[in-house]
Order: sequence, then structure tokens, then C-alpha cells
Amino acid sequence: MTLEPDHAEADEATAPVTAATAGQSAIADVSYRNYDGEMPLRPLLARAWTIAAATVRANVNRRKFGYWIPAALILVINFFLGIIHYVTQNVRDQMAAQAAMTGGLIGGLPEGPANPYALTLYQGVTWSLFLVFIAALTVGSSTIAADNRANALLVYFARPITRLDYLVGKWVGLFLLLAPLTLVPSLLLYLFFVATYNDVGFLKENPTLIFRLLGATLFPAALHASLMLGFSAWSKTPRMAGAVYAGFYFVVSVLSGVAGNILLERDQEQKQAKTTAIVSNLSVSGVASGVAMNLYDVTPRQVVARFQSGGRRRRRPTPSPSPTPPAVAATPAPSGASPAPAAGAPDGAREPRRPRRRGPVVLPERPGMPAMLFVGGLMIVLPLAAAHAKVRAVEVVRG
Amino acid sequence: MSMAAPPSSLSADPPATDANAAAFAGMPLVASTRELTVRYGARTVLPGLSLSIPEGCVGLLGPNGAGKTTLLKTLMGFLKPTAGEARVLGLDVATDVLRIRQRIGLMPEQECHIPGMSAVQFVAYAGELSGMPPAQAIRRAHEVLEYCGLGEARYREVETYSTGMKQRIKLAQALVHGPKLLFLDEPTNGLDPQGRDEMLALVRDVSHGKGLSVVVSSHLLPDIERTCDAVIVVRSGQVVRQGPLAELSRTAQAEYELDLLAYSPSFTEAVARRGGRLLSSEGSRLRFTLPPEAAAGRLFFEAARETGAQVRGFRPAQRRLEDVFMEAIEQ
Repeated sequence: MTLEPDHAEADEATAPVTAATAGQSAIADVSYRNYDGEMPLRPLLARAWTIAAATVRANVNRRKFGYWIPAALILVINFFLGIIHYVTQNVRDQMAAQAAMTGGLIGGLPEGPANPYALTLYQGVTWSLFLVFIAALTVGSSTIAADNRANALLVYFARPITRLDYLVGKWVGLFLLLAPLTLVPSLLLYLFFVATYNDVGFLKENPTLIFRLLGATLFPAALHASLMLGFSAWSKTPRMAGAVYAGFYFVVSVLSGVAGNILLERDQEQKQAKTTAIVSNLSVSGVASGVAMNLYDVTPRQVVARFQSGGRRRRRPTPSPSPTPPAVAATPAPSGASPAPAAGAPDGAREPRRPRRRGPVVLPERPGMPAMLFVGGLMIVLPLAAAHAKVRAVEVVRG
Repeated sequence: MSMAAPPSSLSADPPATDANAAAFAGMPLVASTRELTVRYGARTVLPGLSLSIPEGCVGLLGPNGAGKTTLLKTLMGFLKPTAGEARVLGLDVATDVLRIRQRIGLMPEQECHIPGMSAVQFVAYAGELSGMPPAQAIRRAHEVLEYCGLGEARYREVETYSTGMKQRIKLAQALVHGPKLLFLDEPTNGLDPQGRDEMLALVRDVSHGKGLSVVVSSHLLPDIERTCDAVIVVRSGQVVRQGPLAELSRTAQAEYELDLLAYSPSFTEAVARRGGRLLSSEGSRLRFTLPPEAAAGRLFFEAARETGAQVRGFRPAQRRLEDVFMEAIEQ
């Protein structure tokens, strides 16, 4: 197509603005040149990797304390777990004596001791779950929400990038940020076990432990990455995404905890132990913990037996000969809380504090692996599907 | 696939309609649609649109709701047409959308950037997303940022940029991968007069002699006049006027503009007696239409000698783009 001569003046006006502006420097040519290099249409994984790498770079370069402090704390937790494990193994006799004492406290069912290595690794994962959640909030809330706010989707989708590339890239980036938080400390613990206990047959006795470790440590990262991505996709600002995800995390945790405890109280004979176990773990951290429990083959009783604390438990009320208010008799009042005055007592008079009854601890069973995988799978797939639906609805050009 | 020798035109494709063929006869095309129908739910926005976009710098004009943006969305592959076909750079939008996006650049109307990145990181990332190797992308990012006048500010975060700088970086990210076709949606939006001049100069420069075709969608007719070689006017999802700007601004009849020293009614009457008709007067500037057989120079000077009016100049009248636009819209 021939250019019209009418624009000659405009062409002259163009030059000073672009090349010739810098043209004051004769050695610099800053005029527009076409790009003639290779630019192949890459496969999905390569396209997604570009986005994933940028997501990781952006978060690492920004030095987010909300990510690095949990990462450091998880390392510290696992370090102390390693020390505890070392002490436990080396003072086995003493610990055996203590275990015998603990056995009296735990609900009556004699249970074989857990694999001590698996138990330590399990605790390393479960004690880190809340910190992983904090890190996920810090790095994940802005994953798509910030793009929504800055209209960055226009930049992505004006290029050979599909919605699937975008979501896979963002998910992988978030997963790569979160996975090391649990994986690296667990691997360090594992290396410590190899270095310290291989002469007593650690590797021979635990040939699959490394694979179980990979599954147990990567699953929480996958869970948080998907959930955070889903909430982020539906938010216009990172703060909103973080707030909604935090609300979801805590509300679901409280609801599953309360429901699990109610079922546990009602089901004294543990006829519906499996259902109770599943309900108790119907939360983000519960599912991650349930999967890790199955992979490491440990039970809540074994965890409590080791430390005599931790885990979810209820003391079974001891039958009382005198009629007393059940709330006081069945459950010891939380520390710092005053018991309600007894009925009929004069105003201001308090019932004398009863001695704490130490009944046997009632613990939920280990939830089944298929149920945990099903719930976890839903928690991974549904947010991604929601994000996919949301990204589809982006308005690209206004008019 | 190399960007060195892509099919850069649709010259082999049949033109969409006879009218399109006539409007841009002999011009290589970069995009065309045939009976393109696009619906938003029950509302039809493009009811069987057929058009051709030639190489060079083309202005896409139309009132709000005319379907310009929907057309751009469809050509970018963001919307799936209900019926008809659209081709961009010789590729079918329905089947080759990724290849199309690799060869075109989009400068959207609204502010857009990747949060948390400096300008050079942002533009290089945009290049990588298009498929450029990272080393090439970073080199190219420096080049286009220099070209767009952001060389000094390239290491600053984009969030800290002024409106004018944000417009420039939108252009830079659209250019980084060396597209063969560039869609600019309101490129001077929110710019002050100087920034507008500079942006138009950039658009003018990049669209001429650089092997790059540009489609400018704008409401500002002076912007289109300054940058574009051809214009397509769309109304209610249909093309109502299209063609090279020079042809559209040509008047159908023999119309002339005269500059007199001072307005003279007797001069107007003298021209009228010789078959001329006064179309408009603006101070001492008059616009006449003459009979086709009349010799304009002789007629005007005879009238001037008769009435004593002093003619300072006369030339064949040209229609402004605004006239063309209004005429097309009011049809």
C-alpha cells in the first residue's frame, strides 16, 4: 500500500520524538527494528513454566517476611524434633518406662509403638501446617488477585497463552514456593536419620520412607496452592483474597473440630469411629494431617503416647456417685475460667473447686486414606475449576 | 517457526464483499471477516460483518456500541464468533488463535501491567510469554523501551509511572516480540497535549516503513487523521464507510475554498451568476461548488474583477474526516 504524501509533515515530526531524540548521540541507534529471531510456539508446559518461574522470582525477590519467618520457624521446629528423636532413641529404656506409665492414661487399647522415624517426620509435618498456611497467605493471596487489579490478564491473554497455561503456571509457581517449607526440613531430618541410624539398619528397615515422606510433605503444599489460587482468582485485591481464605481456613477448622468432638462425646463405645475420624479431619490442616498420618502409618494414640500431650482428645468422664452438674464433672474447666455457681448456692458463693479427675483419654481413630484423598482431591480440584471459570470471564477490551 | 518470514498479508484471500474489494482494491490485507456474527447472549453485536483491513495504518471509527471493540476481541481470539469467519495475517481465528496472538500486539485502552515488576522486567516477561528466549527478550526489552522514550526510567517499578509513561509502556510491551500487526485501542487516552503529540508521532513512526501494520481504534478523529492512511467506519456492527483517507476526503463535486481579503456579498452574487453555489462561509473563507464544466480559476478571477474583491488564494476543497464520519453515521 502506498503512503499518502499528505503525511510527510507528520513523518518529519516523528523523527525527533523517537530515534532522533537520542540521535543527539550519533553512535546510538534507538529507532524501531523488527525482531527476526526464533520464536517457536512452545508446548503447554514450557508456556506454563515461564509463568511459574516469574511467580517464584517475584515472591523471592520481594523478601516477604510472612514467607521467610514461617520457613525459618519450620526449620527450627524440625531441628528440635530431631533432637527429641535423638534423645528418645538414646534413652530408650527410660522412655519405655515412661511409655508404660502413659499407657495407663490412654484409652485402654494397647497399641504397638509407631515407627519412631515416621512418627518424628509426621510430627514435623503436622506441627508446620499452620506456618505453611501463613506462608500461603503471604505469597498466594496476590497470585491472581494482583493480576486482576492491574489488568494483567490483558497482557497474558493477548499472547499465545491459554487459560490453562496461566492457571497451571500460577499453581506450579505457588506450589514451588510452598513445597520446600515442609519438604526441605523433612529431607534434612531424613538425612540425619540416614547419617545417624544407618548402622542399625535404618535404610533396610524403612526402604519406602523417602517416598512416603515426599507424599506427606508435598500434599499440604498442593492443597494450599489450589485453595489460595481459587480464592485469589475470585478477588480483586490480594487483601480480600487473603482475608477470605483465612476465614475459610479457621471456620472450617472450628466446625470440623466441634463436630468431631460432639461425635466423639456421643460415641463412647466408638461404634462410628471411622466417621468420627473423618469428620474431625474435614478441614484444610485436618486433611493434610490425615494424609500424612496414613502415609507414615501412625495413629493419634501413638502421637499422644510419645509426648502425653497434643492431638485432639477428650477425657472420658468417670461415673460419679453423687449427682453433679455434668458440665463440671465431665470436663475440667479451662484454666483461668471460673466454674458457674451451683444451683441453690447463695449469690456470690462459689462451689469449692473439685479435684481434677484424670479419666482415660478418648482419641479419634486415624481417618481412612481413601476418604482423606477424596476430600483432599476435592479441595485441590474444585478451587482450580472455580479459578478457571473466573479467568474465562475477563473483559479484555472495553468500548 | 520463525518470525523472519511469516505470511504477512491476506492478499491471497478473497475479499469479504464486492464493496470491500472496491474500497481497498489492490492492497494487501492483514485481516478480513466474512459474514462474522458475534453475540453476547441474546444480543447480537456483530450481525454478519464483512470487512477487509489493508496493510498500513488503519483507523477504526464508530460511535459507542458500534462493535469496534467486539471486532478487536474477535480478531484477538477472545470471543468465539457464532457464525462467519475471520482471518488475521492469513490465519483462521477459529483454529490458529495462538499463532495469531504470537504475531500481533495489543495496546489496550485501560491501564495494564504485571504487578511488582520494573519496566524492563515487565517488557522482557511479555516477550518471554510470546515465546522469545529469555536472553533475546531482555535485549529486545531494552531496545523497545529506548524507542518508546522510557530508557531512563526502565528500572523503575511500573506502578510508579505517570499516565503518559504507562501509555508508553503499554506500547512497548505490545512491540517487544516484533508483531506484524498492532491493535491500538485509544492510544492517546488520558494524555496531555504534549504526551498526545509524542504518542501519535510514535504510532505514526512505527506504522510506516517498519513492516508493521497498525489498527487504531479511537474516538478522536484528529488522532486518526494524523496517523492513519485508511479508515473503516463501523455502525451497529456494519461497515458504513471505508477506504483510503485521501479518497474519502475527496469531494464528489467540484468544490473550492477561497480566501478573500474581506467578505464580499457582491462577489458571492457574481459567482452565483456564473453557475457557482455558496456552500458555506466562515469569515472571509468561502466554499463554493461549481458546475463540472466550469474553469474554476477563470470564473473566480472574473467575479473578483467585476466586484473588486481581492482573492488571497483558492484550492480544491477537501472534506475533513469529521465530515466523512458524520455523514457515514447519519446515513
